[in-house]
Amino acid sequence: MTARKTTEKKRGQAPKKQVKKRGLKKRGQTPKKSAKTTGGKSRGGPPSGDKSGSFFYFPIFLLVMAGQLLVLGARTAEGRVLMYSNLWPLALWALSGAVLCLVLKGGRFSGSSVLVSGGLLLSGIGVLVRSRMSGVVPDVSDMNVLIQPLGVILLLLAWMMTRKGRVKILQPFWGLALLAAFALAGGMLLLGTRYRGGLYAPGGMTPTELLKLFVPVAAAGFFAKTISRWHGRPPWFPPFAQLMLLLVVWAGFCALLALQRDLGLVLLLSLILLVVLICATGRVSWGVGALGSAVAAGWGVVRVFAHGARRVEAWMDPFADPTGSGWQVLQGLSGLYAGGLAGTGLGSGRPDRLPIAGSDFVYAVYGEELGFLGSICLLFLFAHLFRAAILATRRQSDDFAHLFAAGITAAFVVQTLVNIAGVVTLLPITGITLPYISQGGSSYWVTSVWMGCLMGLSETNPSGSKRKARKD
Amino acid sequence: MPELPDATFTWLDPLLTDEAWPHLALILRVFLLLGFGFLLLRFSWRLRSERQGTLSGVWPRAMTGFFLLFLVAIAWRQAHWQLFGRRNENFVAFMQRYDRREFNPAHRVRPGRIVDRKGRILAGSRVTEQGLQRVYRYGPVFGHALGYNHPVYGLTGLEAAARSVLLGGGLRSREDLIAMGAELIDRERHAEGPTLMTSLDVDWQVSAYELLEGRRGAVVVLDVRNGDVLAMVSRPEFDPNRLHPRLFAGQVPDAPLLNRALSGQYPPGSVYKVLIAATALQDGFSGTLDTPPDGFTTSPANPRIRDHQYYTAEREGRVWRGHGAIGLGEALAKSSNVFFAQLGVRSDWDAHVRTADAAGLLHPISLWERPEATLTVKPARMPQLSNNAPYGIAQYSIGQGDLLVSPMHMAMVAAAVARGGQTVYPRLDGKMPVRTGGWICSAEHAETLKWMMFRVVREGTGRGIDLAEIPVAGKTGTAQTGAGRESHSWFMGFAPVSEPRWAFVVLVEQGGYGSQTALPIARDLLREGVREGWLKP
Repeated sequence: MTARKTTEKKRGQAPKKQVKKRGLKKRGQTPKKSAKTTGGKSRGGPPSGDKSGSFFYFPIFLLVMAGQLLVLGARTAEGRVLMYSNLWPLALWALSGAVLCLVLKGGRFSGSSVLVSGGLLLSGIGVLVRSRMSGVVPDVSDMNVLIQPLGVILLLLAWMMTRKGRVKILQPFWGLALLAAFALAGGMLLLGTRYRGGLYAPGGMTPTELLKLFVPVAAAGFFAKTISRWHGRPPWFPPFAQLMLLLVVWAGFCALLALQRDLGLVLLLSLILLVVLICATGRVSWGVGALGSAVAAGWGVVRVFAHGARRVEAWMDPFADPTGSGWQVLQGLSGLYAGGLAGTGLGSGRPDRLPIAGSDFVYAVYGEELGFLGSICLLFLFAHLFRAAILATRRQSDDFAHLFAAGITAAFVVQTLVNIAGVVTLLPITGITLPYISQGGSSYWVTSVWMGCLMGLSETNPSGSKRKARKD
Repeated sequence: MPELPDATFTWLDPLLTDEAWPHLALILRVFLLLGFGFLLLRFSWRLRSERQGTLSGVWPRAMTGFFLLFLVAIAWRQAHWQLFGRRNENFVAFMQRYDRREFNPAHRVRPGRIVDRKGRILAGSRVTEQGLQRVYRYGPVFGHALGYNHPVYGLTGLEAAARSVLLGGGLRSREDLIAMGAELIDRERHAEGPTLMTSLDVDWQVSAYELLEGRRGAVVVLDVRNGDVLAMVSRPEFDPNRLHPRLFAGQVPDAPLLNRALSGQYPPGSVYKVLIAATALQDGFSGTLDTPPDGFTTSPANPRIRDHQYYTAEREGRVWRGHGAIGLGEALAKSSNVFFAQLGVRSDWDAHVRTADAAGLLHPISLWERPEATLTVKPARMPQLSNNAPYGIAQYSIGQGDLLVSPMHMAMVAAAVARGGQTVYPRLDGKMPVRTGGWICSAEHAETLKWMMFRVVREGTGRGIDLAEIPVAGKTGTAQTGAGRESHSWFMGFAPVSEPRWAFVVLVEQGGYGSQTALPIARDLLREGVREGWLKP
């Protein structure tokens, strides 16, 4: 996968268009695409055209302002008075966004601006939805003002740590990340307190969110170290020792999480590992095989765990027990139906009718108020972010950076899809949150770190193309 | 957690007045959507320009494809609930019962009307303070034919089977698609489901209902040509507009909730001889059989099967001399048990089963068929016999023994003879395709049988229905129901004989002789039809 040649050779001789080749058909072949204008940016990196520096800050700000006005208007229509505290989240979001854009500009950000603007818009929507639920849905409050600024700080830190190939400094710590993941999972099992079927640390924190950062690092480190073993093998014959090591460690880890009854997290982390495996080996077939066996194993596990089985039953036929296991899903769907094509309008729905509206079912709240059209827009926004993240992954030439990017991308994509799919009954409910939109600090901050990493990774090291080809 | 200054503020109030706000809100919503779309467009362009430079990291396209496919699946699934949730009757029922969002249009969704074949409304919906109420225009007359839809007692009959269609579920035609599109835009206006046209006819139904007054029994009228159920009456009746808790309290005398036409199980008695005659004709029977006056039995151990004249004569102190050697036509006209018991034993048991199966007696038959629900005729109870049990076959051949059928079954038999031997399945939905079943006998034999049934009316037990207005063919039946209990009274037939259009069955529980109770009801029904003009000979 990494036997690369520089694009130098052909650079001079190709003013005509070349056939697009995306993805690697054959190992070692380098798809190239010459910049449209030869006088553009440096080789390798994305040529930042004249516009790529702009992040659409003001259009996004305007949009979110309009949304906030709608929320406030609906609040008055309900007879509630307007408080300055209702405005703080928006103000802090706008401020943090401005700081983010300015720092990125100052730091000569040359990566994907879609990641920046898309993330900005997504977090703006999150502010609106949370502001809409505050005071109506228990557990959601406007007053958690730390979320936005801390999120931006974490994002910028992650960005600086990963940009321009600097991500490689994380590589030696993969073993530590693995240990930390085990320690975290084990520690939660010992010290956590149970609430609504899940484990929480004192203060209602969910430190297991950190696993979503540790696991990509550990997985990328492991595969970067053993990558030569996985290559050059027939498709039916993975390396035995590595595979066994992986399976044993992973099974132990999953068991720790399963004991906490956090099956959603097991699913998410397993899929991250799967994507990293596929990207490391380049073999989709191994991934499919692993997925098949994982689904079979998951089926068995779900049968053992009572609350898992209940969720699967509620998913297969929510009408079997409409007032019990199907209640939550059906209330969410009722909200969606009540919203219809255009929605009730931001602020005019009834999220208080929906149990756990703030975290698991926030998409139902969004869909009720913004309607099917708004939901499609949100799905498109996610699709754009996914594509930008995938692009950042494909830009990597270093093994570790590439696999780390793949892990982060997978985490972001899977977390989003699994949450939304649970709401619309494509999958059972897993208790996974929707990035940037669900309430709760830990989830928000982890998403911020992901976005920061992806932004940093999307800036390719200008000297990346000069690096030596890996020998194997 | 740091505390930020907080206070109420009012400087937005001028914008939020009752007059200004609705307009402003609309503008803001449109702006929000358009702005979102605009930004997404810009993001797409930006992404295209960003896809440059060296892309060497492995990311299989299959994975991207899978994720995008998943997104599409999410959108599809969401549309299934959010836009087309109305098509799912369980979902609508859930929302009507448990969703407390008063603006949810599901609360105004109501089942559509049910009309008869001429468009006369049989059932409709009304919104009252208590919620939705189903109104049945003819009350108990169509009680069994339609069933009921009640918030407490649930749904039965056609109301239950057609529920999802009445709520606007399913996509069968282009009209449904258009309705669905209109529904997307204005859901309040399209809250009432589509109108359902049934094959029932108010004229037939009302008059059959009135003729059964004071009786326990059932009347079924079928259109011979296509199996349309024109009338399906069962009494004692219930009023679907006023369901009384007493109806549902355990054992209710006379079982008014039982739809006798479809689910009743009765010994058919002599009306079943028509099927036996069909089997015999198909087996090549012709000529005569002797009917000894003291009856017939297959072995001395079994009681003898005798003609009813034997018992009448015995009661009156006379001596019954028997019919002598008679042919099939005369035996049917005189309804000779002795003849048919012998005739049945001559045929193979498998031949009897084949005929019963061809007549549609052995399997549930749906009057209303949709993937989600059906309304069926309960299969007849066939005795478990073989050629080794000739006495059982002899009993079967006079419609007694363990054989139990529903009135609808016998209406199908009458229709099959009238149609030239082929069974037609009854249908309540005129849009359903005409479904034909097996042949009870060949067309040639059916023609013979038809005129034999005409002979029953002209000179046999059915003389009471020999009308001047319309030529009728038929068969009476008197089914014994056990010692000391009055027999069930049957009459089945079709009219007009030369070009049959209507097949009918009348059953009166414990009504005595078929010619004395059931036949007059059928006669009055036909007479009224001719007089009122909805039955044209």
